[in-house]
Amino acid sequence: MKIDVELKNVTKKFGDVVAVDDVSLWVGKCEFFSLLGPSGCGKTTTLRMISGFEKPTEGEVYIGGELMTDVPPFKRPTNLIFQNLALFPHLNVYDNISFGLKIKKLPKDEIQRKVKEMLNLVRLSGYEKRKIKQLSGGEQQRIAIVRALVNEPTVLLLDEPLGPLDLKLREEMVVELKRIQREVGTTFIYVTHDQGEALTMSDRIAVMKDGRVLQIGTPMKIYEQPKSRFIADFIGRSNLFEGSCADGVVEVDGLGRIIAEPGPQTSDKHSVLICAKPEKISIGRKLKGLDNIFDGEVKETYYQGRVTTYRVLLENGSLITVVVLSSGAKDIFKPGAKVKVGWNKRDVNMMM
Amino acid sequence: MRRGKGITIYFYLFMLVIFLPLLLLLVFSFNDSFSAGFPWRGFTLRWWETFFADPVALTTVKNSFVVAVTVAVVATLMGLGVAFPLVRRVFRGQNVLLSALLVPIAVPYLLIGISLFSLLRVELGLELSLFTLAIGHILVALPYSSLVLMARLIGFDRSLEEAAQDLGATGFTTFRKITFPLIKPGIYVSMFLTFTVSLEDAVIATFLGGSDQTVPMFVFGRLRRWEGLPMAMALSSFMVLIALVFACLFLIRAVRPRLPAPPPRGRG
Repeated sequence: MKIDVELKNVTKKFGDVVAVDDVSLWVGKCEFFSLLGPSGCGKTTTLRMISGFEKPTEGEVYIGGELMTDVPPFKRPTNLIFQNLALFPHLNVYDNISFGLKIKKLPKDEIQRKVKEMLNLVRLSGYEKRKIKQLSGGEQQRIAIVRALVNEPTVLLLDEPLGPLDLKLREEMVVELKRIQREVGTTFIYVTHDQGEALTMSDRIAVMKDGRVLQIGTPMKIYEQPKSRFIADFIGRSNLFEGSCADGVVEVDGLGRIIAEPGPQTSDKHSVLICAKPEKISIGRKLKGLDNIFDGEVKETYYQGRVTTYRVLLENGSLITVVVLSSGAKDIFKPGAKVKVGWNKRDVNMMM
Repeated sequence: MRRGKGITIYFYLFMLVIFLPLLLLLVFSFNDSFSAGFPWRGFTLRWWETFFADPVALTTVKNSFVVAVTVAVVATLMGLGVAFPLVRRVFRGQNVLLSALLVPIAVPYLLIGISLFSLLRVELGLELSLFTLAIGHILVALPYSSLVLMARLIGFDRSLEEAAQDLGATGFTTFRKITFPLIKPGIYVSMFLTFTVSLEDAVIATFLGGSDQTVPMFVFGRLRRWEGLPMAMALSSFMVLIALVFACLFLIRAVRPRLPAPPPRGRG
């Protein structure tokens, strides 16, 4: 795969604070790449170093194979979509979108054609003369996206642009963004703290915490095989069991044995962490044919429409979360119900 | 929308207090009498004719405007130079500079006039003229321009400038196309305020103007003799009318962009 962006051992310090700590990663051509992490993890600073608004304290930034560390933002082949969109309030939609093209001194008819094309792309044809204030949140979002895209950047950088939208609109925009990326075939680097957005859109995700990259992988890899307790818990919540492992069998204090598939990292007899996603656990009065089955008591029941979430107390005193598709009033377990929970060994993940 | 009656009454009282004295001034400048008030003795253009026929009066009007326009431009430019670092940078002595800015407002014009006179005339040996007067006016106008422009810059979203740079604009282009248009209302207000500060001052003008008179000094001079009053009223009315025109030009342009925009269309 051709590489569009590469960071080599990039560190950024603000005074004594290390915002980004020795980050190395690459992003392939036409890839949708996400930087995912809680606020303050350094993901926005990383993005601003790619766009040129921050200069790395150490390390190098390459874009399209060229060293960009000392190149100012206005000379970089990147365009950034800001968290607050930063649309120019004194210019109309046309002048906002054509801003970059006019600076490049493109001929007027070409500018007009490109703006028109872009407005078509986001289904806002005929909006040229509108004032920014007259647009709804979703429309502003789309204008901000095409104002950047119209310059045909090598890489499009997005800094949590869906933050201020309400939930339904966000879900629409997630679909819209992915469609736009497929149509224009540009490399996208997307910063977010929302795991749902990252999982839905990304080809690959880098999970960040405290300025470091913890894991890079496809959404499925990150979700199913998290490399650390933090990622397991940050992405889609997990039930975690600590124990000591020997020959694919894990002893958990007070609970007994858990049969697990030894992961590639495990060798004999050492403490491990087992991570079971809530939707991978079965719940019922009787369970058969599962590698691991435990007794438990339902403590809390949350009917959420499509799914029902249970909090189940196990014999060792730990509370686990189980999510099942809702299946009608007859089969719902009320708090206090004695149940069995279980899972197959291949459905859980083991970490050192 | 229903508003309380109280606010309507308040509004009209407010307008009355502001405009009634000015209106009376204008009316009595057409009164065929030497006194500035009732009784009404008939309409006359006599006082306006004497004003327009008096070369000294016309020169003072010209002087006033030359100084006021210079002050408006220079004080606003200097205000920009002060406001940008004060709002956007962090440096030692920032608070000292901010406090120092307010001093010319706090100190009476009389003292400023005397101290500038001793500095410019006695120490530096400059001839008193419109030039020295403009220096004095710029000093007292600077706090107004700086504060107005600072207020405008504090509310300024820096990411707009970053967005322009991201789209390929250099620092200068960014200022020309983004920063300047967005702070323009502040520049209008600043120019109007500083223009007015200069136009209305008689005290500093007395110390620093030398033989070059401005309108307020001239009016003061005329008031010593009773027959000078009506012509002074015509001259003053003229200045008020000019000031109103300026106020409309500057302030309406400054305020218009901030009037509420039409409501956004439905979401989605």
